[in-house]
Amino acid sequence: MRPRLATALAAMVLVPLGLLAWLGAWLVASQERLVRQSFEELALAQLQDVRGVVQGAVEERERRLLGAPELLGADGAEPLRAFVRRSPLVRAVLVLDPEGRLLHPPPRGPRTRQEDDFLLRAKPLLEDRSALTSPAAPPDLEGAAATRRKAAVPAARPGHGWYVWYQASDLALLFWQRAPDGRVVGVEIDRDRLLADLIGRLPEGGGLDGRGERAQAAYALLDARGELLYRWGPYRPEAGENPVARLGLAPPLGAWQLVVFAPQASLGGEGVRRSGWLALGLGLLALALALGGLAALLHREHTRGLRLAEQRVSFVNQVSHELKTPLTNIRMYAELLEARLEAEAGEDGGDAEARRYLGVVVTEGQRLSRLIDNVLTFGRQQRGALRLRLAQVAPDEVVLRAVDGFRPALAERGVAVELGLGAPQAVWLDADALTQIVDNLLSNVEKYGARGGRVQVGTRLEGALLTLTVADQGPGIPAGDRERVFAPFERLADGVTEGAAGTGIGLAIVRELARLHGGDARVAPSERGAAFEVTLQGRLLP
Amino acid sequence: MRNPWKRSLSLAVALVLAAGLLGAAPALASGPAELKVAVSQPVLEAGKRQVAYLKVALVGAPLAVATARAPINLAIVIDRSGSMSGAKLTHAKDAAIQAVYRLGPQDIVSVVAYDHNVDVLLPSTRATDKTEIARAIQRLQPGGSTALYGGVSRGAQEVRKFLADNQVNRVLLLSDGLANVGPSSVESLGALGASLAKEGISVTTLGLGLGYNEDLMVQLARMSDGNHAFVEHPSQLAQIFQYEFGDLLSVVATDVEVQIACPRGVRPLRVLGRDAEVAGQVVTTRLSQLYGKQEKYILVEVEVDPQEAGARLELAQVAAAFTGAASRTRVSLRGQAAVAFSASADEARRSVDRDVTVAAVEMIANENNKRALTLRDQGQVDQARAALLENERYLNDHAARFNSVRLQEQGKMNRNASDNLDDASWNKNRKSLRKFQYELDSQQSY
Repeated sequence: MRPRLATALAAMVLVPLGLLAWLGAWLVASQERLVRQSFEELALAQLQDVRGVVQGAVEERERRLLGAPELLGADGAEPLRAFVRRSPLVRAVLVLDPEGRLLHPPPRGPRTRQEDDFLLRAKPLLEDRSALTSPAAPPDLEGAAATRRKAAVPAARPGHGWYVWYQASDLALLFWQRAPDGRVVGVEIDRDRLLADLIGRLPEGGGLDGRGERAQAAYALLDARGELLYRWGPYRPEAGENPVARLGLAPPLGAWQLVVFAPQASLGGEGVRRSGWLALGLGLLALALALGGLAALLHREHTRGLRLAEQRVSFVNQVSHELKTPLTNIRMYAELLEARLEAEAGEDGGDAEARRYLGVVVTEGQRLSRLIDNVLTFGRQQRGALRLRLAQVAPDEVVLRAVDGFRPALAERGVAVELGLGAPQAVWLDADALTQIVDNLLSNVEKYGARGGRVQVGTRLEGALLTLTVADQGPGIPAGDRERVFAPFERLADGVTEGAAGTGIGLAIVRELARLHGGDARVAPSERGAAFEVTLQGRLLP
Repeated sequence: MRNPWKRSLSLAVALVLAAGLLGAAPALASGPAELKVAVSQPVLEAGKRQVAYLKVALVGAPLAVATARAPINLAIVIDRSGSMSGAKLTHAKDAAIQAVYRLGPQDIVSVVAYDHNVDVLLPSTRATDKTEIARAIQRLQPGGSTALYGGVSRGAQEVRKFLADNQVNRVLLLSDGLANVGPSSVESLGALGASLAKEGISVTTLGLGLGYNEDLMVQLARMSDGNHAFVEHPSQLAQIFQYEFGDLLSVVATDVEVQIACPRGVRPLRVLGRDAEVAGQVVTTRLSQLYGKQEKYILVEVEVDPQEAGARLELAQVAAAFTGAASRTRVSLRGQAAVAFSASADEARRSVDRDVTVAAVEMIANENNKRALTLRDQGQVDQARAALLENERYLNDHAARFNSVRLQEQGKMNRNASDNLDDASWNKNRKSLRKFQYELDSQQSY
């Protein structure tokens, strides 16, 4: 009983606690995931905006170059050189005739040192002039980002586009267009200048205003090698920190990419996580305290109840014990007196009145004695001190004596006893226990089954197994309660027990005694009334 | 300890200024600047292929009235990386604020600060409310790393907001550290400088302390035609800012284009000191501005085919164009140089033009000096020392021949440099040398 209670109480505390902890952890984790996800989405959206800005800047420059008369209308080397001298974004100009032959820089000189440098730089392009001169430009290879591939990027309108290649691991950019006369005119864009212009368009640092504020994020523009070109935002990422989101720029700068760094804290990391776990921890602690308190309270109430019951039982036990001796004396003298009155009565019948009175005293004394026996047996059982005292007895004799003891009381309530005894052989049994069993069963009949007017008491002996049946014609026991009646202090709360006195331990004692004998007590199926069947495993005589 | 370079340099500057004052007097009437074309040796020996030097000089006239100067469009870009904290930043702020008070209401200023991030502390604004500008500068606080490229880019962006031909467009960069966020190669910064120069934006680079990359800072200044200074101690910043603003306030012409066309029989071999475009017979170069009372020149080495005695050969036709600061109109100037040929080697030697030859010697010695620096960079300390001492002899020979104090001073500098090639003093010496080389190449006033 006690360890079971402890387990139940522990479960009462731990199960909801564990469940809530798991639920809370799941909630916090999913919230973290959600915050992180939404942060990433936000970051990506911001990067897309920035990419738009960059793309806008590049397109603006394209528009400025497209069809520029000083470029397309230039005749000879000098105006083109003047164009380069005047254009901050332009490093060099390349002109091919419609057949793809080099017109500028002048192939047969004189060339400036800058033009010679350009021809050296543009070697991959010059070896692959078809990209510029063939009517259909090769398909867009956006993957230029990662590898040393060159990509001719045709724009929407045929006749102009970008040629991107790598020169000393730096991105080299050439914007080309086809002049109306079929020449291809390309300008090499100064990568460094383009970057400077982009920096002018990208957001400022926010370093100063961001100082003191919570560091939120850092944005960076990286080149093809992943080297930092420009950065902004108050957060300072660690070396080697992984970006939260990354986005490649649109061609022709496809090799460059934008990245966002953010501290774990603003990712639903530290901050959200810490507060989430803290809240969860506190909640669980509070719950644990509440449940623990409740369990402790229940435990205390329960043990107090137990202690009280124990005290009561032991009190009743003691009282019963104290009562037993005087009662035995009373019964003995009453029976002696009854015997004497019987003897003196003679033929005239004597004082019938007095004999009747004495009969009541004897019967009630017996009843009281049974009651006390029950209480003492129950008390012993509770203490675990119930022992059988086996003796050689003929069960039928014991049963008959017990029934005889009940006859006056049963007769008074108009109950006829029908005996069907079939266990005359002596076996080893606890006679007192058998008496107590029969007494209790008949006492129940007297209390609850008297209306049937008849009780059948039968015994049967198969080997050493004694089967005792007591069946009345009373209201019977509902099928659902057939086990419950054997529980101590269980009294069926319906009309059956109404008005009937009782301690509520009779059937419990019957079952306990039967089980001590290696048998059992059960409610036997019957058409009418209550039928109890008790088996006792006696031992055959040697 | 005062830098020995510095002392000789100030002497040289004083001399140049004195010479400028004398020579520039007649130019006052003729416009914002005067074009002078001269040859190292007007009489060449006949029948010989030989090399001559052509000096194309532009001398700014002194500013007649202060109001006639070109408006200034300036972005002050200050490194606020962690290493700038303390005296460096305090001095930088004070120097910048002091200098800003010299600007007038027609001028435009912006202030950009960078560490790992770049922030515009003061967007381009008229220099009317100077206390606000001073406040923006005072807001500077030291922070993280050095996004030099981003800082210059954004400074240029601020200048670009009010870009005009007839004003002095300048980014003033002050840094004490190595660029470590964003592009940081000499080539990238040089390309950026060259690109800015095309728009008429110059970048003046002030290297503070001993931690900056002088190659990068010099290249940025060179390609954009700005000034460069090595500021060893933060306390010198105030003076340097005054020099720089002195230059800015004395600009007489902007957007200077020079084209030198040589006829057949004359081949331009190279341009000494400056970045120029040589396409066959034509040499083209740009200067962002001319300063009052200062001479800027282009020295071209040409090879002349053999000619008969008594022949006369035109060496070059020179066309220069610039925008006058006061007049705000485009001014074109023309000049030419010719040589005569004589059978007498003596006559040829006697004809030597002192001014042009001294300039040529200076430039050639400067090239030698650069080679010596490269040797030292390669770890060949002894060869570098030998080259510097050889260079000193070369300078001393010509100093004696032309009685030139300037060449003598430079000879001393080379000797000085040869004494400081050990690891302990090399970093500082290298910065001084780079500064000195650039000063000669660009005829910088300070």
